[in-house]
Amino acid sequence: MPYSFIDIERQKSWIIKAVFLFLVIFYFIVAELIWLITKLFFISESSAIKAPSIFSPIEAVVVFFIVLIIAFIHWHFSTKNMIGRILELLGAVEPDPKDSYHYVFKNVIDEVSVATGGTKIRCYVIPTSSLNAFAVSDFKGDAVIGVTEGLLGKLNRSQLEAVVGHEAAHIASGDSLLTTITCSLFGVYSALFEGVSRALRKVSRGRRAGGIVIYLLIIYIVLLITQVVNFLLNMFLSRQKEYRADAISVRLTRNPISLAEALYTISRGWRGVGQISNSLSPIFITNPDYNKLEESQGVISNALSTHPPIESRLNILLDMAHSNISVLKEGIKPKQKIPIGEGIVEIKEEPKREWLIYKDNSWQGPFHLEELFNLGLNPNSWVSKLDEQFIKRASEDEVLNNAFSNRLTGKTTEEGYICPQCRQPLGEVLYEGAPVFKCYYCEGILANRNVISRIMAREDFAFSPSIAKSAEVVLKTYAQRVRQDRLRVVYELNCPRCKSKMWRGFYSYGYPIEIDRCETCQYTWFDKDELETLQYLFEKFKSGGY
Amino acid sequence: MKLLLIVLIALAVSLLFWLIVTYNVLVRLRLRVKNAWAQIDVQLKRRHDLIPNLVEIAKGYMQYEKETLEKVIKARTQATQATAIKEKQDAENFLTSALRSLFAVVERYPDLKANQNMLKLHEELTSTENKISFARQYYNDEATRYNTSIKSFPTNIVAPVFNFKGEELFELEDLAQKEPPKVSF
Repeated sequence: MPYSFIDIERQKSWIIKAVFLFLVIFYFIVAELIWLITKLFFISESSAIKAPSIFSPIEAVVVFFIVLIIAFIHWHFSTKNMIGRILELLGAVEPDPKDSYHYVFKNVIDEVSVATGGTKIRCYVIPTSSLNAFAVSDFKGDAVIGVTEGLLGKLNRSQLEAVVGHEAAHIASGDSLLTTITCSLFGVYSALFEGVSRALRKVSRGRRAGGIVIYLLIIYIVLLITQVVNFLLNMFLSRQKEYRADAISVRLTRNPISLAEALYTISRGWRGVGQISNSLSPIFITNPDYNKLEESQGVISNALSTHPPIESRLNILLDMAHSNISVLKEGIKPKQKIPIGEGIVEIKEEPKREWLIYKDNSWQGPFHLEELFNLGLNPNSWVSKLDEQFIKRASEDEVLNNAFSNRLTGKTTEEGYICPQCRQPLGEVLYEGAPVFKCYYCEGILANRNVISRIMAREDFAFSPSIAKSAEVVLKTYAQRVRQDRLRVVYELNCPRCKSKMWRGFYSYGYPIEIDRCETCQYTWFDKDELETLQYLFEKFKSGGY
Repeated sequence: MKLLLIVLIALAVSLLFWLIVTYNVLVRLRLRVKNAWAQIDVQLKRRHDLIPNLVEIAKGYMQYEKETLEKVIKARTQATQATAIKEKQDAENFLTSALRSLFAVVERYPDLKANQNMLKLHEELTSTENKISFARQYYNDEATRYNTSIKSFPTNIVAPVFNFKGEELFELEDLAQKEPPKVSF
């Protein structure tokens, strides 16, 4: 069993030669056919009487050399920066070291890399809540394993390790090099192919169908050829490699049950990774595009599909562990959610009664600072100082504002972001393992767009009944609220990062929660509980109850 | 007579060729074993480096568990001083059990358990433990491959001549796993 870099190096050369040979042969057959047809066309026009043998060896040699050049150009440009282009297509990003989930993922990759004897593996994350994992590698020995955010949220450590082991097996055995080459040669063009065929349909429907159609048609045919080659090559990439990778994963991690659990969980979830996933399916652990063919056995489906049915993979793994599918199903428990606790704020002393506070629809006081805090003073409360006779927000007063700052219960950010409501420095905290900025007073949360998508994929915390209730209200009042604010563009708060005005609106029409978003920084401000409400709706939607 | 000479020379040459190939294969295998051993050492060192931090954080919370902490520190000192494979095995086994009892105690201190630094350190230690066991697994696989090849015929005739000796396996036994599993009816 190939296991180390030395073995991979040996395999690499024949993989490259074989694929290149395939490319040349295929191009040659296509080009020769096109040439012969063209020739036939001209002969029948000029001298229809004589029909000599159309095939001439000299011409074939010429065609062969032209084809060789074309194949070489295609090869050269397609295999340049393969990994980078595939990662870009998938929208994969590097893991965030501050994020606890990503940190664990990175550690797991390092562990598996030790198990393979020190193969260097980089890791990437696809920010989507679907469940899938992939591996790519190139000639230089650069290897990448990527997983989706959803997978990180759903699997436990040993299951993740088993999945990473499976992907590492693809890398160690050289499969992933082959699949990466075919994907970069043909797979990445399928998006283009779809675009062109759509454009072609649109143009041909219109009246001015002129020169453009011909150009499009030529591009269409060229791309069609690449699609056919991709299809044929995928036929040769046998299903066997998935079984083999499962076996090596078990050999590395010595844990068939975890891999079976992971596969089962993945098969129950949604595994799509965006629109172009179908052409890149060979690099994934399970086919992102679910179809009947993949799940059936038989000569034809064996020849045509890239992944074996999950069921037979599960059976093999369970056989190793002397277990069966019903035990497995019982063994998989939904992840335990952490119940929500209440935060406690410590209070210090300070005398001098000089403050009035507007509370419960009336002015109360005078109080000293400590009493104000006990009464639940927050930076947004209306206050007035006795000797000043002037009403202002608590955060607008220097003394009070400093008092707030001194009372911060946790660390504040190095970047010095300020809460748009309370004007207090924000603290950096982990929300479901993802780094967000939180105000210690109003409990509003500032989060990056990437971070939000991560949080949506995770299910650590149970929701308190009040969140569930308010979320249901949000859903019910959706229709009215849409009509009210549809055309109004409201700018209310300043962005904590760039200080420009943030746009206020719904998170999306599917999730009608009012948030403030900074268009330049791509950061979103959630008031207290809004992020939880959004998450509640998202999970409800995922489980099909929406 | 001439034919016999040619046959003899051919035999000698092919024997020499076989010797060279065998020697090279054995050298490569032995190097791999050495490299695998270096990997274990790296991970063990990492674990030893993490323990002082762990003890430092735990100290603040656990006034009444001095004994457990001291046991961990003692086990660490032993483990860092060990050199021979057998010695290392015992020391590491002792350290593993000491750490396990420490984490059992940590469970009783919710504040400590929820401490961000502690969580991070726990994750780091878990990862390092896994790396140690994977590195050990890799080492044992490579050592077994090497041992098998020097003990199988006909290599076993020439291996001692070139001074190729078998390598010891590295067993980090889990003391808890050695107990017979409890069965209840």
